[in-house]
Amino acid sequence: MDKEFAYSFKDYVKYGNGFKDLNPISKLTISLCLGIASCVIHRWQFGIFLFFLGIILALYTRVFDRFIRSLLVIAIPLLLLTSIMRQLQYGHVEGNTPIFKIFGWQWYKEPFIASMDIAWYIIGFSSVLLIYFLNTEMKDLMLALENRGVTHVASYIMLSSMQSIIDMRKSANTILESQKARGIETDGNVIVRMKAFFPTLGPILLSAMSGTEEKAIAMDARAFSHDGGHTYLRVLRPIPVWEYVIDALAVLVLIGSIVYAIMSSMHAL
Amino acid sequence: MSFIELKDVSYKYPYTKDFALKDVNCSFEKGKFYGIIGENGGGKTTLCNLIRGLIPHFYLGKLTGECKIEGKDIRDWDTAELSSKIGYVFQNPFTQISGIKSTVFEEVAIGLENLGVPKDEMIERVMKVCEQLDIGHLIKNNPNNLSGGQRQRVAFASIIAMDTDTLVIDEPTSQLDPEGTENVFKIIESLKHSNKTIILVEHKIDLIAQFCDEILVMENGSVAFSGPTHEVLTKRELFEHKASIPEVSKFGLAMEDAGKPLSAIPITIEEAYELIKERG
Ligand SMILES: Nc1ncnc2c1ncn2[C@@H]1O[C@H](COP(=O)(O)OP(=O)(O)O)[C@@H](O)[C@H]1O
Ligand SMILES: [Mg+2]
Repeated sequence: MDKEFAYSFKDYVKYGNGFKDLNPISKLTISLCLGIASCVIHRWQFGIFLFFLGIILALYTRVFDRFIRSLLVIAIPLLLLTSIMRQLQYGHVEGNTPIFKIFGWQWYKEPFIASMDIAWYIIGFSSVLLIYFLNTEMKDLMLALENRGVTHVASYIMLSSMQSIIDMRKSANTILESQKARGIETDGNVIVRMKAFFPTLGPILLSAMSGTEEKAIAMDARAFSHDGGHTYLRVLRPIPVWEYVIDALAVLVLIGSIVYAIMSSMHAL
Repeated sequence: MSFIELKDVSYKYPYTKDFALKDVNCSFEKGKFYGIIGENGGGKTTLCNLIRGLIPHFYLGKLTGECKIEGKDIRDWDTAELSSKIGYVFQNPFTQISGIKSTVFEEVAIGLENLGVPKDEMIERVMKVCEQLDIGHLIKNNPNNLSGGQRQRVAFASIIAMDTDTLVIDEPTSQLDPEGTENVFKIIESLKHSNKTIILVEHKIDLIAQFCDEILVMENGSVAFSGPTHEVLTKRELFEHKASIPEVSKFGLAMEDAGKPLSAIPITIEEAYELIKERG
């Protein structure tokens, strides 16, 4: 037996990475504050700032690959669509400043900046949230919430639903594989795949549902509803002062962004 | 008074026509080891569900008669309280994994977390049980990706870790190979020496013969035979019934039929060996 692993539970939950080891709730606070600030400020400069912050954190926490792949899926279509739509809609408004031509199509500065504001505030928001989810185990978040008084029942429901999604995907794959083995076409265009997939839904849902009842009993056998104190094998690190300071800074950024938004809208009047 | 006592108990699952238990009378005493055998669908699992309070608290349906645990009617027991008194290892290994833990080590610790066992003690107990159940090499694995046999052992471990005075174990070896079965029975033997009350449903009759103090034979929802192991397993009626008896007992009965009886009917190989040796 790996005794070192067993005894690692004596220590607090630790990943050995400064960002990953932040308390899931303070990490969430930071990400949400920055993300919401991005929506409130609504400026491409801030969006790009968060995007680069995201890249730095992704490199630091070694999730760059997944980060950039997921983000580009959102970012590229978003940038293209909003800028083209804006040009089409507001391109030839009186007084607009021409900036460049694409194949003879004149683009203007004002709608271009407006489209960049929109696209980048969404990209900025997505960046910080993506960084959060790539660096937070759901079980840690639930544990942190339990420490703040959320019942272990809620936490169980949340975590086991996530597992049943995984299980369902697994059984769907198994069924599709066996269909393929029996010569039923499962690859190809969307229609072919749908045709192969829909008949599997029934059995998958049924097995998921019948499993729930037995799982409830199995949890009962593990004294799930026993009251009189609950202890934890995994314990999160007590939150150090500097972590609260970072949280506070993030909240300040959010407040600052709201002030900025109010000021600039007053200025516009 | 017995620890668990059933009087004229009948039970019908919801939406079913037939009774799964019919006029069951039996009792279980503290510290003894009971074996329950009988054909599939005979009501063994249902009896376990009742003793553990899942009937009537979880499975509704129709329950009549009297079922008392420590003198208190099963209907009046709080299931949460029962769960810390009576450990229950289910028959189906696939649903016995919580699905919320990402390593076997954490999985085995769940019951202890729920019971509020201090962390350091929890770690020691989980390590000990994993060692005992020969799943030490699996502690870092994801329980959701285990095979049936492995799941069964992990489930068994998480119940044993809770260290309840009474254990109800429903076919713990159904998914195991002979070696795994041997292992589980070694554990069961060690439990026997720890003075626990054990109720074990098991098909492998030779193992039952070796370990149990008393036996219940379930048939069609009723207790067909019950009593001390030796007495039950050497019953001619049982042999003539569909119920299985150890090969050596069949041999003993056959010797009687042939007019060359041993001085007793053996139920284990060791006994048979002694009896045959004595005859010379
Ligand atoms: N959850 C259930 N709902 C309805 N009927 C059940 C359920 N479980 C078992 N039964 C029925 O009760 C009878 C006894 O089954 P069971 O106790 O599982 O037998 P055994 O464990 O001896 O194989 C069977 O006829 C079975 O079909
Ligand atoms: Mg059964």
